[in-house]
Amino acid sequence: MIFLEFPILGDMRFPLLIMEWISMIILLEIGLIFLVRYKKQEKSLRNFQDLGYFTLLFGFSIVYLFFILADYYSSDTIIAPFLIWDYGSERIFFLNMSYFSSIIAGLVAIFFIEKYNVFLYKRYFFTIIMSIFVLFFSVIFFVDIRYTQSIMYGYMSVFVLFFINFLIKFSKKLMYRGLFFFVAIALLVIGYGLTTDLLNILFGLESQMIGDILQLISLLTLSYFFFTLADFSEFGWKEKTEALFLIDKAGICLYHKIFKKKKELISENLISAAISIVNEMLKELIGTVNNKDVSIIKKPNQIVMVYTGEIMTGVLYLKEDLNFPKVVLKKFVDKFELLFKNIIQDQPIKFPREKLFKYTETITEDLFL
Amino acid sequence: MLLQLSEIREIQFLFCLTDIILGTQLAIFFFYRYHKINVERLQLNKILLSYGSICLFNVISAFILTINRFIISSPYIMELLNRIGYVLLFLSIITFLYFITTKEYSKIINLKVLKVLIILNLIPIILIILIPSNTLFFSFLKILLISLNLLLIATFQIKLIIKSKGKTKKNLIQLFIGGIFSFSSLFFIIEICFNLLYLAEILTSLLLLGTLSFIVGFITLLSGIFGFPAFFELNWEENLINLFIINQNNNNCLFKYNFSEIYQEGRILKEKNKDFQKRFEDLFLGGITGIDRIIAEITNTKNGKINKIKREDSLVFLEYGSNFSSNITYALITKKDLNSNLYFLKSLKKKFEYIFKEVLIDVEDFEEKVQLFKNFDVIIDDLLL
Repeated sequence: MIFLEFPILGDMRFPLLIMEWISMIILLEIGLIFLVRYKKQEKSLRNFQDLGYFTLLFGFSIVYLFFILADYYSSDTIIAPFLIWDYGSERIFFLNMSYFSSIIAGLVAIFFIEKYNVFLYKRYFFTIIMSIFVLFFSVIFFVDIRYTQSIMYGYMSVFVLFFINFLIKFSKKLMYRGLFFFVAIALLVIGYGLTTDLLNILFGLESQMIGDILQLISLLTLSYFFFTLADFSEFGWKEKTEALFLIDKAGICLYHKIFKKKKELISENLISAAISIVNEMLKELIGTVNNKDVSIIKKPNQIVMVYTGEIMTGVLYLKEDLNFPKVVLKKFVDKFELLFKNIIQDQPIKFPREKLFKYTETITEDLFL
Repeated sequence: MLLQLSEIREIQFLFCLTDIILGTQLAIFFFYRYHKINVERLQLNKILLSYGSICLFNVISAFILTINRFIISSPYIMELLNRIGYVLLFLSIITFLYFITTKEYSKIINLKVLKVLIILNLIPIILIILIPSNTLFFSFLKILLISLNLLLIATFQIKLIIKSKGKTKKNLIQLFIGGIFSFSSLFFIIEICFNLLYLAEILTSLLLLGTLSFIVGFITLLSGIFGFPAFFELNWEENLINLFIINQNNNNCLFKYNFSEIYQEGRILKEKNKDFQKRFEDLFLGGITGIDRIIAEITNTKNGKINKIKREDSLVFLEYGSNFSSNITYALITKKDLNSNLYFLKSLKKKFEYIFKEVLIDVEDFEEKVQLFKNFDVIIDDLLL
């Protein structure tokens, strides 16, 4: 067992400080890239998950900053009284600030991710557990800041469990990158473990150095992973798409496709007539005549998206209210109009109707399948 | 015993380190973006190389000076590294100017003046090598010269922004604003405060401000680099005359677009080039396939296709359809031989094939082809914006 004194002094101080500072900057940077990516997305396509990842990475960058303050610039001598507490030290205070940052960042990120995905039993399952941790942490924080660390072990376990779930859910989509991601997360967890006070007391500051190196490698791997990852908004939307209808101004269904075979629907002509009426009513009621946005009608477990172009209306049945299908629906209607507007409007043009169906089928396959 | 710094110097070092790490990555982003968009070697894209190189040299210079300031203790090595650092700083300005000494930038800046400035910037490099670097006069001289150069670069950028259009303009504005924030902070780190300020607290506060300013600049620059479009020659669209999309199997014109009706010194001018257009239409619809075959026979290059034809004071750029539409020829008639024309034609082809892929597969079956593709002009208008 080694007796550790804070702030860390001696030969290891400067290299350790530089390593942790670099890790902090890299986390901040990846976070900023997510923020820029979020800002650059089309407004209707903007995905709060990106904002969640920004919060997580930015939050952990702040965590590193507080760790640096705690380990290198604060004394661990217990003072009584300390600020609003009976006992405390500068180091414990900064460590608590870092715990608080990490717990809040984790909560916000998980909330944003769960907004679009269901993990385990129900939506916001992990958000609820995290909120309980935040509550416990806050109570203990104000009672005695020396005992908050035990809450953090529980919090970290839930956080790792969440990420394992996340990885399992997206493993098929991520392919080999999933392994990449898994290795990076494993390195991060091992690295973090090696930097804890417990292992530092057992193995000395060398353990912290190895932990820092592992975390840095992990962060670089994660940077690569995040840079090459497709937009999160593109994940999983196809499975939730149920049916597509293309209706003309008169309310006649020109084309329809049922993606989920189990989906039982009434005749497509009745659907198209009904949607046309609803659309007209919405226009009258809400006054969206010139609005080129996608209208959304929500029911429990059923979302109906309606987009009206110049001459056609596209209708999409979905299980969830997602952003990306809105863009795809718009693309579908716009592309159809661009291709066939002249044919549909200008009747004398000799265009075989069966071809029209065939091409629409190809566009659908291209965009939706 | 490894290096140990006082707490305040440690913090100063960490702030410098932040800017160096972010700056290195910015330089990499600039070079990567240039590599990605420079398929057709558009000369104006070199602005990204200019930004990348000024970033890279500044960062290396900052790195050397920071190491020198905080870690090196030998006066001889300190003096040597100091000189190397400042030489690199002036080289960063020279490389920025060097990459914009291409013909395309002559509309914005006088190239002769630019070349003279490059040579003039060699003078401080010689001075740095010859004169001891720690004199107050020398510090002021460096600040003055760097300020003058940055002023010139800023003027150039403003002119470039004024002359550019659309998305390029938006991205250039972001790069300009980001550059102001970033380079002002590098300026802090490299120069003024270390030589002129001796109060450690003020120096640390300034370094913190510099780092925050760099982070703001970093985000803005990142935003500007992301999606920076291919930078076409200035006012290039005024050299476009006609576009024809032809089915080579029967010499039918699937789509035609007359640019000269739209762009003529920035004003709408219709029907002026009617005769000229007619001549070219005839040539194309009737003869392009023939020309291709004759040239293939006489040059014995049956596998190759014609890419460019020069006739009188006009040029014809040719592109051919992909596998599923190999019978389609895309012909763009222009006034000047610009790389932008080829890039534009390739973009048009890509869009046309993407939108009409389904129809192009069996295009022979339709009688009303021109009507079918009529709406493509909306896409062209979009691309021209």
